[in-house]
Amino acid sequence: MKRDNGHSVDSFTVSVTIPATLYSLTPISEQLHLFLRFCTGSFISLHPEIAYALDVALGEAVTNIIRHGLPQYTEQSVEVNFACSARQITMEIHDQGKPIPMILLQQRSRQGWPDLWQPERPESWPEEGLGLMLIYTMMDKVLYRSDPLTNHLTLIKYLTA
Amino acid sequence: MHFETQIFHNVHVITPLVRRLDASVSTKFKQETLLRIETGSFDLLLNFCRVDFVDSSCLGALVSLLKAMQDERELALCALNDNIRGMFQLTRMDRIFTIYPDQSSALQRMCSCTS
Repeated sequence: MKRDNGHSVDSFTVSVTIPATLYSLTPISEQLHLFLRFCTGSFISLHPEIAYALDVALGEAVTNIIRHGLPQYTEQSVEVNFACSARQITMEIHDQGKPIPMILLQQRSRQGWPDLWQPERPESWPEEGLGLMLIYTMMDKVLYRSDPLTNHLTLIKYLTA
Repeated sequence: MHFETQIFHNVHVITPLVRRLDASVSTKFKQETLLRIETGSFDLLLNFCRVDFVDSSCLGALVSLLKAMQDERELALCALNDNIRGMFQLTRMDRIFTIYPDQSSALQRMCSCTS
């Protein structure tokens, strides 16, 4: 763990690298909550709903990378950077897998839940494909870019209205 | 992944003994519960009293289970914590699942419906 500022703690960052396996979901969630506990003990107040939203969005992002971005049976890792200030919590997720198709990102960023499925139409009930939608719904800002080596997903949750 | 199973008349209550129902366990959760659905003719109550986190793969697994229930058999959920209930409302899953506050109120309703 490192502090942005060696003297006054008004922002805080932590970097965690995990093996790209679904068994990393619990450890990375624990790291997030550890990080949030430090932040809330220091300089922010955090509603439990926000902590849950961050947990869900992070889990969905890491799951997407492992399930869809990386080839199976290879040793890869995912890097997650947590940052907290009085204004927002930011999670940056970096991986070296296949990028998320831009068209899918554009679709999900514009869609609402009624566009995705309708309760009155059982044939539309979704058995998969909800993860990106949950990320967009639960976060205030979602940024994605991909360079030749690495994909960078940034998830931001604002702490003030 | 471990479950606790209880049988009350025609209702089987399955309690997943796991804190997080996420992508690391949801496939196993779905497969094991589907096996039970396919080999019986009971109604099913999933008790989430031990679960404090679900993700989209869990929601997808639940939808698969709901679709697998045939012949007017009922699948219901109970004991969702506030965060999980919020997920159901956000995704509108609360419109297709019957959700009870706790196991006793669920059984009171489900057993009386089947008797």
